[in-house]
Amino acid sequence: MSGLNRVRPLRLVWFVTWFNVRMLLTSEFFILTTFITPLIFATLAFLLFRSGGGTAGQTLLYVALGSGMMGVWSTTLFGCGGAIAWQRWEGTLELLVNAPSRYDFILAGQTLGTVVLGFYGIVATLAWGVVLFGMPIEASFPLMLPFSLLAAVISLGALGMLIATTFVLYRHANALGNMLEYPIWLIAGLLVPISALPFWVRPLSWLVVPTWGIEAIRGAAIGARPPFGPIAMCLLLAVVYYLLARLMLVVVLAKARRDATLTLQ
Amino acid sequence: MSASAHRPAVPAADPVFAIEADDLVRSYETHTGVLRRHRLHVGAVKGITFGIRSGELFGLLGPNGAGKTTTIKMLITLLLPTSGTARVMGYDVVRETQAVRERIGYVFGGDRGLYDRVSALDNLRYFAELYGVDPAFQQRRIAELLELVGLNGREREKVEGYSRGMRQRLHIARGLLHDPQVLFLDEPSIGLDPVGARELRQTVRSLVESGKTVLLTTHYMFEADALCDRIAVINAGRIVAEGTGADLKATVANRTIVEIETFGATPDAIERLRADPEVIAVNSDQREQSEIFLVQSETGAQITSRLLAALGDTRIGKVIAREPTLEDAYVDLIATTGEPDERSARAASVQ
Amino acid sequence: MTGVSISVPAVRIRPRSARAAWRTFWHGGLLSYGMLFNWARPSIYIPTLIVGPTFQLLFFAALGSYATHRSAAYFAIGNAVQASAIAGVFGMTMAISNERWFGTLPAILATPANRLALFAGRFLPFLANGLMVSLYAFGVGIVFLGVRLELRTVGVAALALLATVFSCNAIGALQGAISLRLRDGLFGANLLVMAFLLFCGVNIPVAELPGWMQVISNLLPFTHGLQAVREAATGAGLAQVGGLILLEVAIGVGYAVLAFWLFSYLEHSSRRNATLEVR
Repeated sequence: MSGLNRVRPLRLVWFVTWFNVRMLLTSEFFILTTFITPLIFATLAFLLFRSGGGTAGQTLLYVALGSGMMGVWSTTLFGCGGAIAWQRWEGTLELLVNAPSRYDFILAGQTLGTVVLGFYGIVATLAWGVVLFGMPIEASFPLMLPFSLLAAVISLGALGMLIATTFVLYRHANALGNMLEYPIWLIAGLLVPISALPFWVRPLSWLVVPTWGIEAIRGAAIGARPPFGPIAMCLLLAVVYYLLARLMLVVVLAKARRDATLTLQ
Repeated sequence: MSASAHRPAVPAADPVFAIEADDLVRSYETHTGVLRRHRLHVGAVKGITFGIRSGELFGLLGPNGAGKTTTIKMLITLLLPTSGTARVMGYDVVRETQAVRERIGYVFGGDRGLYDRVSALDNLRYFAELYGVDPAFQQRRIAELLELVGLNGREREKVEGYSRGMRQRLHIARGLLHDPQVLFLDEPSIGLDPVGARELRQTVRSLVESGKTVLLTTHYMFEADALCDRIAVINAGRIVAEGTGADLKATVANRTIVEIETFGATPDAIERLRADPEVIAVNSDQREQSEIFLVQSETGAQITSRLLAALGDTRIGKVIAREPTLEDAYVDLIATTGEPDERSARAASVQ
Repeated sequence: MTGVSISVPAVRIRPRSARAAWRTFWHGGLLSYGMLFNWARPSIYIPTLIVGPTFQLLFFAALGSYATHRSAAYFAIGNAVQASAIAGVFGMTMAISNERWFGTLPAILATPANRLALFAGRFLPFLANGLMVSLYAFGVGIVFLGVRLELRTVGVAALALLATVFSCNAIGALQGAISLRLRDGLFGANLLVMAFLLFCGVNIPVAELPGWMQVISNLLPFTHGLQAVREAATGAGLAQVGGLILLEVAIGVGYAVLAFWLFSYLEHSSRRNATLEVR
């Protein structure tokens, strides 16, 4: 293998990431979901906790990070859920699948761009909390924070790939998104701790990555111990989701070829 | 009627004319620049006058962007003229919109303009209500129209599954629901395959036979020639000729067309042909491998050798000298009447 | 298509009659549901208007009862009514602005149909739809989240709900008319339903909001209607909540008038400036 060939996948992922981000930023719905919705829900959460006369024993930072993660999930869900469907609509899916590059690299690039944009939600809700509610910014383990964030991005990216490949089987990806936004907000313990939910929900919570993503980030920010466990869980689930996504991709492309569903017409 | 850009006598509320347009002008305002906005008035229709008799099939023929759709939009009350007046069945299109709308049908081409998610039947039912078609007649009327356009049996299927041709036929059925006296067909054959286009022409003909007045726009010269009693050629917002197909052909009747097939002709070849004092016009038609020059002159076939000499060492294929056709007349009209900077582009796009 | 000649006797049309206006309103209105509502198919309807709102109820019930001292039922009622607002705002936005998507506007505007009847008819199916969605969501609240309705005044609560659905539809119609000009109509619809969540007392009592937010709460539809539903659910009669219901209807009528005015204005200005040109 020549040096050029070894560089290519990275270049490809980078190019597709950049390209996809530019495409996403032309969608008003995406802009709303990614940039505006988190602020509305953060406000709602701050006011709701304040209406309870405190923060139910939690810090403002807990609320800000949780509602930021809600935005990350929405962006992943709608951005990745629509990724393949959108390309099918635009007529570019056929071209991408037939390109000599491995399609999973292309998909990884698209997913990565979406998820990274989604993490803007956390930044925004933190800033919102500081400006509107005088929230202090502190971190118990500042050096862990980059690792927590990276683990969360990787795990949500892998989940995003699975979403992208699964949702394409369903014609109305946005409708699925509408259905799956709230349940993950709920079971991942973003604003209500998992311990406050019925015990039978817990196994479900453990299977979804936003649970561990928020644990990792909160651990570094307001935790009592460094969040090694959640980070490890993020990476483990990322591998599982990535493999599932690869499997789904094979299934979906085979099905698409068989049923001629790569294009809409 | 001679084929010139003359104005017919202005028909003052003459009931003979189903549609009359008098010096219609329409310009659009566009803005350029982001910080310093410059207003720009773009003339889409620059003063056109015509009269269409009851029961006539009148064609408005011109290249894309010539002003055909803008003209129709003014006549069907969707657009106000910047100046000038127009009447349909004697009613003013600016002030008496309600009376005009009751008497006209509007059919446009392309695959949009239908409610895709419901059946053809529901599309027709909906518009039957909007036109106030007597409920007692509705069912029968819709059945008749479905049969007329050949959609009977398929009327309960969702429109999203329809072919282009079926959609176009549904458009026509919708335009006829209220049995309008005047029908506006705006590029109805766009995107139809040859069979569909032929069927469409048959339907249009039968509509005229049944006494309807039809104004049809098209950029297909042969369609206008095959269908229309009279044709007005519109280019860059002006009517540049008007008459029957034969009238239009007569404008170039005394000319000879020499078709010269060339391979690898240099860009200046066309200029060298034009330099000949007896040449009236040269148009070129770019093919895959070759370029065909269509040279118009009044000299006859004997000019051919001089033309070939002018082309020098350019490789020449077939050379034909022939009588002019309507297409030649059309190409000539479009090429010589557009805005100076648009002429060459227009001439190339009329094929 | 064959050259069948047309032997039809002259069709009688009376587009200017009261009867035609009525039929445009009623029959045309009912037909518009299938024609223009993207969600009128199970594959979208069920995830978006059945499953989605169910989880929304559960989420806010869990969050609300964790973060505050109020009961899950308080949040269940608020979000059950908000479910109808989702249906109404999105439904009406599509019912108006999808004309643009289908390219049917020129055909519609070329008809002599009574514009007010055409416009008002579009409300009909979405009133019914909003009620259905909300009733289902109430069912979820009753079964899982301890919502109890006072039977004596359940009719009053239903009336208040209908008023709320109407006014949400009206602001949806306004949004639809706006998006006949602007590109992405659902942007505004999304923003509106989120504004309801935040401003209108769905999860946070209006009285606890900062003053400037309360101003917005009172200008939006939904706020007073929801208040009336809440009070009627606990036994308040028409005498107590009639004023709130009337206020909700009045706000709804205000938005509906504004929406129709905008629609008419756009039709007129389009004749002048070709602003509704979509082909």
